[in-house]
Amino acid sequence: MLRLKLRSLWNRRLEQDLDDELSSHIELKADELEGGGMPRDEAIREARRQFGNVTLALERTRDLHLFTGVASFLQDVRYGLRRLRRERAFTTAVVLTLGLVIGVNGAIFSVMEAVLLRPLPFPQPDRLVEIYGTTKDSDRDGISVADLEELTAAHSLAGTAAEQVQSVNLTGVEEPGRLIGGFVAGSYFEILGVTPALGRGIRSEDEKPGGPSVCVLNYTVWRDQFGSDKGVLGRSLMLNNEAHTVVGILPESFRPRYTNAEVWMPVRHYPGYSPDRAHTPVFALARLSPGATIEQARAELDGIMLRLAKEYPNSNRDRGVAVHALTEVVVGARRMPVLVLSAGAICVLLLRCANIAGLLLSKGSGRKQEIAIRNSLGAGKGRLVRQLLTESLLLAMSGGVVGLALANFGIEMLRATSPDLLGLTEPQLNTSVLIYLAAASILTGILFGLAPALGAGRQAAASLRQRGRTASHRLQNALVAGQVAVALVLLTAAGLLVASVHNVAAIHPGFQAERVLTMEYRLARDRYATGAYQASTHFQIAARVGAVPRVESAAIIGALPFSGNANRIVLALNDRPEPLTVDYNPVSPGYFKTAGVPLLQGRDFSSADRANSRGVAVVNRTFADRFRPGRDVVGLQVRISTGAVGFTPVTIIGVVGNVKPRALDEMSEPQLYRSYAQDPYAFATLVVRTKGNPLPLANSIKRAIWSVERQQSVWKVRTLEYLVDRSYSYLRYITWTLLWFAALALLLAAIGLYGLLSYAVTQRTSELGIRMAIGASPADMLRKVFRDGLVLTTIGIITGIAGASGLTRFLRSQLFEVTPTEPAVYAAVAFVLLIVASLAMWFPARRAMRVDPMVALRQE
Amino acid sequence: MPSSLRTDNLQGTIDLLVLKTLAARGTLHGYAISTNIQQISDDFLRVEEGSLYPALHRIEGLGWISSKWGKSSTNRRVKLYSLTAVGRQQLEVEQKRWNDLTLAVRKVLECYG
Repeated sequence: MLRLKLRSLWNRRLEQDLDDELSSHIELKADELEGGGMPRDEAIREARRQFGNVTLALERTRDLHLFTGVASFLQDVRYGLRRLRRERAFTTAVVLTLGLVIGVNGAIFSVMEAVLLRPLPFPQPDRLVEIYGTTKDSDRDGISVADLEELTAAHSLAGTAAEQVQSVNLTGVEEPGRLIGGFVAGSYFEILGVTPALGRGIRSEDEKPGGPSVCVLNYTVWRDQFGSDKGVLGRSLMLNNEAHTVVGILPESFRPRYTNAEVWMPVRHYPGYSPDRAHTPVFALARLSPGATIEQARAELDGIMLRLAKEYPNSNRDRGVAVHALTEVVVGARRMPVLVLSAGAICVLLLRCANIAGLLLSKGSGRKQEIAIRNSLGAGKGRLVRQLLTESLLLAMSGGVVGLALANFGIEMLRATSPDLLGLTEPQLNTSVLIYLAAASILTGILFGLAPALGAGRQAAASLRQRGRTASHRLQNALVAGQVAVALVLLTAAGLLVASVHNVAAIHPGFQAERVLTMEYRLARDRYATGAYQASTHFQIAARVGAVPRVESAAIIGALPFSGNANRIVLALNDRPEPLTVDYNPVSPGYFKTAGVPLLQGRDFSSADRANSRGVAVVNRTFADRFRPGRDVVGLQVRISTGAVGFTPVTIIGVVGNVKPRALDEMSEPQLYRSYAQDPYAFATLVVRTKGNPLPLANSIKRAIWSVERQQSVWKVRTLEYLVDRSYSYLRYITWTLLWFAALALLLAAIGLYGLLSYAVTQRTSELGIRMAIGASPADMLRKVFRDGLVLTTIGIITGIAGASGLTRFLRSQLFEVTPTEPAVYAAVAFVLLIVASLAMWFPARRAMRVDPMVALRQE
Repeated sequence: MPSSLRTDNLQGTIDLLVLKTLAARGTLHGYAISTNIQQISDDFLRVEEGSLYPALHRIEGLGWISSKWGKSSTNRRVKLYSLTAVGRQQLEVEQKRWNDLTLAVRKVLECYG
């Protein structure tokens, strides 16, 4: 088929031309025969016969014009395949290891594609922004509903929608459950550009007080919890003990990566909702106006907030907004770890390229004879280069095929081992990843094939007998030194990360995490309307759980450290005019003992601290040190701000140890605790210290909660150890992965060094033999090989250190209490490299020592 | 007389033969090139037409020879080939390579008698 198609391209004029030329040949021959006395017609027949197959000649000449490229390429491929088949062991080794490295790259790239490159599944996702409120202390505060209405008028925004997320209790079903609720304004889905698969979305009339109570379900919730029953539309669900009519189902493609909300309700149903300007309950999603930039939006919104601060100084002083691209919000902290992993994978791939290039160069020298003969028989230099490059490409692409299979496996492994890093994204072998794999294979083929191919081309230019090894020899040395350098960079990066993990893990969180089980619940607002009832219920639950067998003690806290929850309050000290913002938590008496937070001074809360007794608080050591340095903080009175004007006076009764609020590597901030009795709260995290493995007790603890409130949903059952571990899971994950990469790099560099030295020893057997014969000792031989190896290793180490000190800067954000140029890490890494390199040198050196002068000389 | 050698058995040599013939005889058509080689080598080298024309077109593609249509001595319309300046240089290269090769082969043969 291809041939036919190409033939039609054959230029008619050239065709005629060739026909004419060949028939003139036959006629000339016939003329000659005729001159010799043959009759004309017989002469022509004879001429034709002698010419042989005219069509064949035509064909071959034509092919020459048309198929030189294609044909010689196919020939190269055939020849290459034959060679690779002949050297089965070499081919298998290269293809498998290259496949491994390409597979690792493919898997990491798929993560990068899923996390960083794949856009949000909405129309024009880069036009979507998220708006947060800011205060002096926080850049991710909420916005007041009244302020948001003013922001909606901004010209640079095509639409804004309030949003908030909170878990909701789903009751009236067999087992009380919990769904993650998204509370959004009516314009929300319109701004995203999402149309419900069934029914409708949230509308503006749903937002009006007294409007219909509705909800919209995510596709997966509808499928998994309601069996994809269309009859669910119009049904009433009890959410936070209020009936909500299901009015719509979102499409399956709607899997927002920035929120995990499962059921959507109008924002006025958010329990913390308040139209009061002093309260900032919501965030906002917005779409930029056509043509507007995010900078313009920032400037315009800043202007509006400044005006509001002047108009409403009581509520809006120091209030501002921060505008972030939604894609940025989605990627967030994942960017660096993913980039670090990608860089590591690419380093290993480059190293493998250098490695194979070195191997091919060594083999190339062995093929000198073959290349020279092929060259003398008419194969041009360009043709030889192409031939060798084709072989390399065949190798690389076979590696790519193996890599494809391994990448799939690698993706599965990454999915299993790093769910946090992947978030809600799903890495997969899609078109982008396939294109990347193909491009990576071809590029590696060219990379590792180019030097050997060009070397062969140069060699072709030299004559048969010439040795011509200096140029390729230098290149081989450079490649090995380069491998050592890349290995050192990876080892250094891994070393710095290991040191960071070590440093982070050594930090005490401020509590005893062992044998502690935690879980969250929220008392329903309508049943537990009064604060006093909420507090007594919490205390009752803590007491019941404390009585469960094998439970040592139980207590509750508002926002458990490391859980992702946090509270802050504003307070004033008598001798300091400006208000202070500090971390805050309501707890039950006994929390400090249960969590293992040491009481340093004063006393813990007790059952005597009641709603109507004197307001008391416990602070941490940093609070005392910072606000009351050198003086006794117990007995000090502070005023806690309650909204725009009011404040509650409390007296500090005790000082406890510092607790890290979210992560081990954080600084200690001032913290203040009050009792649930004096600051009641519907939400609570139960903290249970057990006598053994805590997880098996989860069900008996839940039953104890249900013995107090039958309809109570309980969620996020986790151990405290898990939470602490999770807080640096990215760091651990990239450390382990990079450590594997570094080990692989070290192995490859060692193989490269070993290969080069072995080859050198083989090549110089006769020289070594002569040296031995004229009196060199085996120790001299050993020294000689080691000297060559050490020179290369040292050059590699020095280059690597230079490279690492430049490149590890990019790791800085992932490091903890280690500078990117920590000398101890560099020294340790260089030491490891030298040890491994010496091992790689030992075997060829031993061979050099055992060279038998007689055998060596006879070889010549 | 040794049996004749078909030139396509010795890849690359046909280029050398064509170049040398054109260098010595000036402008020639394909038929004349093939008969020339055959005659000079006392019929030892027989240039297959199936190899000759592909070779001519290939060499022309490389710019070593050029062609134009003209008249033969018998007044037939024929395609005439002549050596280019590049071809003249290439001839030297090819000739040296051939000499090197034959020298090398001869050395080997003579060495082992």
